[in-house]
Amino acid sequence: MFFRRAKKDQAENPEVAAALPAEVAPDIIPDIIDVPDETQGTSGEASRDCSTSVSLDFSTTSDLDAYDGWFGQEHVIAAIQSVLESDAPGLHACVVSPPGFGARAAILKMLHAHAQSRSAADDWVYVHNFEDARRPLALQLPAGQGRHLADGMLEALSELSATVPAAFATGEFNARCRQVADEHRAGSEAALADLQHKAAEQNIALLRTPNGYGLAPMHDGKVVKPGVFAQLPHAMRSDIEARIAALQPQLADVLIQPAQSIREQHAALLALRSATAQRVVDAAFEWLEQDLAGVPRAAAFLGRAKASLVRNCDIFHSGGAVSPGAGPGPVHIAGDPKFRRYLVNVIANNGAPQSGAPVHELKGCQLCMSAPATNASGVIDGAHMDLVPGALQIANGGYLFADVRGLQPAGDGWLAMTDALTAGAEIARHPALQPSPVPLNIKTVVLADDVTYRRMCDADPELSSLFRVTVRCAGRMDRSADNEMEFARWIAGLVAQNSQLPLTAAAVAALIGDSALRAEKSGGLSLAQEPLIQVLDEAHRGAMLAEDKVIDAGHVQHVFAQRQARLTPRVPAVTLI
Amino acid sequence: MIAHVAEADENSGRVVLQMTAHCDVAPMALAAALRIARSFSAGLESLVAEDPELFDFAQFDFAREVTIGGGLPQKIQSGELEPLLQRLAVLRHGEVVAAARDVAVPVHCRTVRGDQAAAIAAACSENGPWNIAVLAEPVTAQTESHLAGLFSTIADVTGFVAAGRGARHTDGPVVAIVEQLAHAEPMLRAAERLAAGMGEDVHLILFGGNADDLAWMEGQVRLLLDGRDSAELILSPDTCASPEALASVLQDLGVGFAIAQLGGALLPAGGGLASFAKLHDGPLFLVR
Repeated sequence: MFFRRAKKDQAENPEVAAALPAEVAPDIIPDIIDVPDETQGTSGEASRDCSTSVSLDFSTTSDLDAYDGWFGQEHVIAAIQSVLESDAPGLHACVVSPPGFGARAAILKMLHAHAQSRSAADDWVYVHNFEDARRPLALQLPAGQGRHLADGMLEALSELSATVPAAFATGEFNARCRQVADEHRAGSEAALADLQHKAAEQNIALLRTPNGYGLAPMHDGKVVKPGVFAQLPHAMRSDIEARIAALQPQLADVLIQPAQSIREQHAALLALRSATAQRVVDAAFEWLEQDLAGVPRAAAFLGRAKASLVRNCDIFHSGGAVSPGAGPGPVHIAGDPKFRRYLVNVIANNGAPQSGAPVHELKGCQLCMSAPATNASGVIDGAHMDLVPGALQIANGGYLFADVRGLQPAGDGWLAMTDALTAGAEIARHPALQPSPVPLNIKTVVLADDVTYRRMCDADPELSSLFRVTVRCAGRMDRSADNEMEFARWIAGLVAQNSQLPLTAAAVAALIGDSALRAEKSGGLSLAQEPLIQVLDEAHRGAMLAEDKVIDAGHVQHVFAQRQARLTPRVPAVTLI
Repeated sequence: MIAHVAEADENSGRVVLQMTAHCDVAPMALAAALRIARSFSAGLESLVAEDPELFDFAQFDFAREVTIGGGLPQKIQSGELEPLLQRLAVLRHGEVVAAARDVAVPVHCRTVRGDQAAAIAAACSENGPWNIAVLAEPVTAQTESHLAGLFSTIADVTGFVAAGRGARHTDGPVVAIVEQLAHAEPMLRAAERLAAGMGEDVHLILFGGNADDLAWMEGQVRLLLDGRDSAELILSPDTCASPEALASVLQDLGVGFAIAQLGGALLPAGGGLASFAKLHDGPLFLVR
């Protein structure tokens, strides 16, 4: 986490809020006002009698053109829109607003609306680097293709787990192996048999010895005893020795052949094995390669993975014969360490191309990409699967929203995020891995309150250069006849959004009066949304219980009265005896 | 004709694994010997023969050993030969004992100096009449004549086991290739013993002859089976009775052990064993 929960007394300290430095002034300068905490409503029943000053010319809110938007915050909307519509890289927004003004919902609504107008962002995946396992490769793929590649790889591996052992167990493969071995052995054996025959014609025996062969005088198919040989005439002995001496180089020539033949046979068997594996691997990946033919990065990865699988097809041999279709399923494959290098780690999955750009709200998850210092398998091969995407990757190509009100920057996460946003790319920090960086194309909107915003500035002096558009929500609006009618239209909009009963002009006047009381310190009308919605909700329930068709001033005043009663401490009755 | 080896406690025969001190034991030969010993509850004899002609060879001053791979010819010192062969014999016995211990087969080790036929004859004669001999080296072109000689000179052996270089497994169905009705019952019994230990199937292939001959033999074999379904019958008439065709059938069945007659129609005297062994995936149990 890059934010931790701030202590409540600090967050609510009005002195800290009032001491915001002037240098954090944003590009778009809003009305800088001190926004009081108005969410708890006003106190004192007498102070509510302000409705008489309101003159509203309608019967019920049904007659009004309901306001559909974020009332009174047009400057904030314009500021955020300017960020969203800008093509400038590294342009992010920070909105400063206390709770209760509807900022979170309004900003998210804007982000989602803007995201729908854009095409889906590309997917990002990490794959094994077959040239250097310590440097996993980040691949950018069209939306939806990342998951397709990952699932397809699992399916193909699952299929190969059945088809590779089956291919090597077939009679055809074994017959070809045998043929290769026989061809090479036959040559050596034939040469040795020829030499044996040639020697036998000269009464020379070819003997197996502990390390090879030897030639000895022979008579009647048996080696002549040394004592007998010694009794032979000298000329005969010399002749035999000469014949043996002449045959020995020929024997050496014959015996060198097996070693050469073994090498050739080994190479031929490897080629046969490779060709068999290639055929099976090609078949398993054919459909996936066709699907991804238009995605060169994916096709290139598949090519490297296939070549590796052909070289390492032994990983599919479990020791027993496996019939086609009987291999382990994708779940088993995903959990088997020996297949990890072939798996695909989807770090940004943006679904179908028509699903729009991603909008991600930071909620408790890591902000930046992370990886365990020691990966699960304990080896580098396949360690790319241990990389865990953070919010920046999930939102990449779209929008990241973070409501940090009440929190304070903490740890390395904040600095990592600002570094990544500043650099426009993120590099996972890991002691052993050096994954290729993922370029970031992201619009970030941070929602902070005054205290949090100041802490952010303290934590990162460069913040203003990163969040070049900083805008503060308006807390009030001037009170005028026009604005009161606008306020009434806002109420009409809120009622319509929540499918509530319409309000009479008198009820609206009561609410305007309450708003004026809440903005009492600064004058005008308070733009705090939450207290208004709470009163509307309770008044609606009261009207419904009374089976009324509209919410009138009575319902609203009843809510005010109930609230006042809840706020007044009850004194227990004491009976004196 | 009988294809049998006595049980270990009968003391009237063993599975004799015949090796030479200076040649490696083919893994398939050792596996086949152990499988037979277990199936018949027999003892195993690890028999290493030292070739006496090597000692004569070593005494010739001019004699040189040419090593495989083509190294320079070197003189074998006669004084060094005996301890070398003894060390190699101990090595061979050690391999066999270790493998037999793993499957609880009792082993008796014996090292003799003499030619292979004499070594087997001496061992079997001492053991009793019911021995099966297993050749440790793969079948070559010379093996057939060697085996024919062994059959004719050694009376105390009921069968020889040999495997080609390409043999890969002893498991899988056991097949008995029957060419004569008289062989059907002992072959079937041996096949059932071999198959029972591993829970494998048994196939009886009635081999050779015309369709009428095979039909008659089939009837007789069915009478012999007496309704038992322990063996499946396969007819292989003359028209498809080549060793290659039969080997292909065995491969398709995944057969391990094949029991066959040496000198019959499938493996006639003067040729056939080497080529059939080359094509078969398992060991051959050859009977007279």
